[in-house]
Amino acid sequence: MMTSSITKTRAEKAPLIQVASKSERSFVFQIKGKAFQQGYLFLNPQMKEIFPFKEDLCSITFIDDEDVTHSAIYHKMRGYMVCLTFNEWWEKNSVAEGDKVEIQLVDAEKKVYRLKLLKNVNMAVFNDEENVEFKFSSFVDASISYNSQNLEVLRKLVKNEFSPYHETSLIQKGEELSADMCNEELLSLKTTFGVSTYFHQIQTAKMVIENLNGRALLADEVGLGKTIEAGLILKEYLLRGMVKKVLILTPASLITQWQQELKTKFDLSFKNHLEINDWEDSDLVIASLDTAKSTKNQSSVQRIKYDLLIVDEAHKLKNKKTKNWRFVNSIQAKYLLMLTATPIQNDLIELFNLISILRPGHLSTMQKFKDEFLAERDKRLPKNSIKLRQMLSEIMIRHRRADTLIKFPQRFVHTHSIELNDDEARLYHELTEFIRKRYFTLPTHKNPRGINRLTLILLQKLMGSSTQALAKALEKMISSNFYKDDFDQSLQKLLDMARNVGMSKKTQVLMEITRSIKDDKMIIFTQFRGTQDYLADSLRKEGYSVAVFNGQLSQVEKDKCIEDFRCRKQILISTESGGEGRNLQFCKVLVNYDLPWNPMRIEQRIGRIHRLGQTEDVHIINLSAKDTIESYVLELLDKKINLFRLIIGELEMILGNMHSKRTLEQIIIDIVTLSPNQEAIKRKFKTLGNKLEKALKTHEEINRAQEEIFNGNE
Amino acid sequence: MATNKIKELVFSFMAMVGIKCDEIATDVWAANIPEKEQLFFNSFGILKFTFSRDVAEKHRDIELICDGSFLLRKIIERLSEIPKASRLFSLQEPEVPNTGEKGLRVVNSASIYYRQKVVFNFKVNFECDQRREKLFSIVSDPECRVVDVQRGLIEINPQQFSEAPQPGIKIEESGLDLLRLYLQSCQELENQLAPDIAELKNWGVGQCDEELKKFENYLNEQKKELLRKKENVCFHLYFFQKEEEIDKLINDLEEERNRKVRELKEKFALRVNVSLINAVILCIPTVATSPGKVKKNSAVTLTKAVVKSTMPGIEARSVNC
Repeated sequence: MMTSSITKTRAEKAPLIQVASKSERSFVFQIKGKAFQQGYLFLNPQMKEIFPFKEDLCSITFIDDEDVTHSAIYHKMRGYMVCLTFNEWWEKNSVAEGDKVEIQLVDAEKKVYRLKLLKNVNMAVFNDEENVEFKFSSFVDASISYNSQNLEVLRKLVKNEFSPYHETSLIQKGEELSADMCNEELLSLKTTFGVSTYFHQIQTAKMVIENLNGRALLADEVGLGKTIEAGLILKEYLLRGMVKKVLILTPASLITQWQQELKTKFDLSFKNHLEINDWEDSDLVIASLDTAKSTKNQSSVQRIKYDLLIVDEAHKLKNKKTKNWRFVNSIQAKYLLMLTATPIQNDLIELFNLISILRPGHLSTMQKFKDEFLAERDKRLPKNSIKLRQMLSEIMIRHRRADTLIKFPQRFVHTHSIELNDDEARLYHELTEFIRKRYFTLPTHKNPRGINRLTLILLQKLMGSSTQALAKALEKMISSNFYKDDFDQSLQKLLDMARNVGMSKKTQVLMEITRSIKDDKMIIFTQFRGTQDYLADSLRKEGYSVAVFNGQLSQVEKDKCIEDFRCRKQILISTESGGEGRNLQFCKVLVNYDLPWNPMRIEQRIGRIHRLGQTEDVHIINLSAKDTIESYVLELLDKKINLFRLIIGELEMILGNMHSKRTLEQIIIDIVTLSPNQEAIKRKFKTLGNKLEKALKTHEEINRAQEEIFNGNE
Repeated sequence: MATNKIKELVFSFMAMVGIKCDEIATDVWAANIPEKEQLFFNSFGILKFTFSRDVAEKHRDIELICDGSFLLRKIIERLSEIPKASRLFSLQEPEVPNTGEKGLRVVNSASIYYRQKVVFNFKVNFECDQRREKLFSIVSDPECRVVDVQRGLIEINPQQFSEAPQPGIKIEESGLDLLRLYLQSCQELENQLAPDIAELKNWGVGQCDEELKKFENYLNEQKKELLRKKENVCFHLYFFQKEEEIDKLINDLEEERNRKVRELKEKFALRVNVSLINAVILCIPTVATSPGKVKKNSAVTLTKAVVKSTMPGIEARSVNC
């Protein structure tokens, strides 16, 4: 590669190149000297007109007769350009001094020129408007591109614009740190919070990124943290700069939970579809499958090229003929994660359909799949399961709880069914009657004054929580002008009754429980601030140290509150917003002072302390007053579906088997508000209980089938 | 990655953009962010940050800066967007070129000049459904006609260099064509990258072909099935409508084929991006072989060094990936 030293003056290299002819977009010149051969082209003023660029230095691409590209750098001030591959062109074409060369502008914006040797060609004919099509090849590898910023560094060198070395080296140090980060195994592990990552989760993340090309079905058994696995993969891709645009599709009921988990655990701010104006503008979006596939949004979503698509509860895509399947299959995504604990529910074809979105053809064609794997006796069971499992291992990751060797502590449930005292019972019945009557005279357009549906339901829930919370709400309603007129007297009566109740039986039971746990830490959950304040006062009066956590605290106050509870205080009283994503596993006693009608919220409460990472057995204490709505809800959830013993995440799957468009809470609200009397309420709750039982049974059958397929014997 | 390196980088960056940081508690710093910089720091007026994960876990309002944190990545990206070049002057004794002459030589101070070497520091990103990053330093010494390529970045010891020339020593610039040196360095770099490029290309093509093959079979079967249905469409009551329906499904399949093929090719296509991180001109005091006559050798093609640079003050700092 070493060439002999050639020392020539500029005049020798480019002895006043003469332009033989020139048009608006091209010129022809005769080669004199060996400048071209040595990689230089010196431009005279006429030639410079064809290179009308403002920059001091710019990259020019020449394409020769054989469509080979030559990269040059043009030094405007000095009027020359350097291109190291000119000599290869020279040699290949046996160029000699005196030969004529034409340079023709092809694309001014991209700075592309045509380089033509005009040996033995009548050079007089040019056609500037000629459309030229090129198939680029290159002396160098075409996949290499040079950052445009490089020339700016060169410009500084050339123009002697030097910076102090400590600044120059700082950039270098940054790049070294960045390169070191590339070598880290999983960067995402270092920046997650409140997550106890387990070996199986880390293994999953690495497997998906390193071996499965970022397209996988994450099918761990429920409760093993599929969301964490997806979060780790997502964050890893973001940190490595391989992913920018992400869409997460999840059932509507889980959007907020996903958003919160991604924010608190992975520091990722996803916007839901309500928070965005334009799907195109937002890089991190979470939406329900129904919203995304709606007529309004469908085409926008399909137009975007996503880097990563995550589909939660992917078993909803089991049927290829559904709009869900067709829509998800039509989304453009480089990487795709599908999450489900039950990839097969009724039929092995469901699994085939799921895999067909991830990697079409991976399980061969539909007919071959049927022939090879589908047993005739039971559509759920494969006839060649070892081979199927082998094929699935290249696209699906499934861990069982038993495989992980994680110790799952026990959960003990204690339910206290409390008799209301006389005052409480009277108030309860009075209020329930009031609500039922008012429900049938809801405000209308003609008569907008009155108590709306939501307020009535709220009053019922407040009563279930505490009379103190109810009293506070009633006071507010009465002081507001909106509820004057005919409601005034009834509300005032209810308020008077609430004020006269004194210490409720539920509070007395709570005090007994608190005394019995001695120095152990305890979280008390309530839905209402009124109850929270009342309980905090009562417990403090008894000499307990209490921390209060609710949505009105600032971030700093929330941190301080949790830290106080961890280090100093014995009791934490928290509202629903309590501690999402925060590690509260140092506590093992949880009291449900009141009971949300939405079972998902109850599951979230339990999930605060009984989750992966908890090492000790957990006690859940439910307080409910006899013959109240709360007691019916409790019975429904505890007796019919064993809610308090379910693994976190299982509830959603069971409720999914009810195939109802309304949520369970909506169903309960309708029962409470639309039933004419107590007997009707009880009857409807019983029917609902039967439906839930059926849903639980289906869930158990599906689980058995999964076990058989993925882990059964051949 | 050592936290100290990160700390040093962050504090140097803050100083560079004129932001003062105070340690307000153990392992917690606060910085008053001027308005013009607030957008960069996520609109914080006062940024509290820590390098300790434990602190950040307890105080979620405090920004954690560690390897993998978004803020650190932003700082590095911002730094990389600032084009920087420096010139340093060696404080070492003048080098005496080996002329092959025997015996003592008299050195006249007037015959000493600064010859220039250029260090180009490059970052190379490979992307092909996986990502690699490599760093290279290339030292071009036009007078010795040597291009020395090093994996990782070399470290220049600032103790052995000054930012100003020694009085009375002139800088010889006539033989130096920086553009040519840069292009030669790029050419040498590309030679170095060839094995990685070949490996990744093969991998990408292999993966892509494998998936394409399965996909084509899968689609072809579906198409065959549809065509079979189309043949039997005459038995259908509204056979025109049915035929149209099937044609549409076949068209959809073709569209899907094109889209997926495009997606796969794009996913496994290799992209290599070369960034010039910075450049440093090193001026080395040298005794002229023949006073006043310095070689002009700008057009000489440099060759790759067989032996690594032994110049004092320069050493390999990092070898990545």
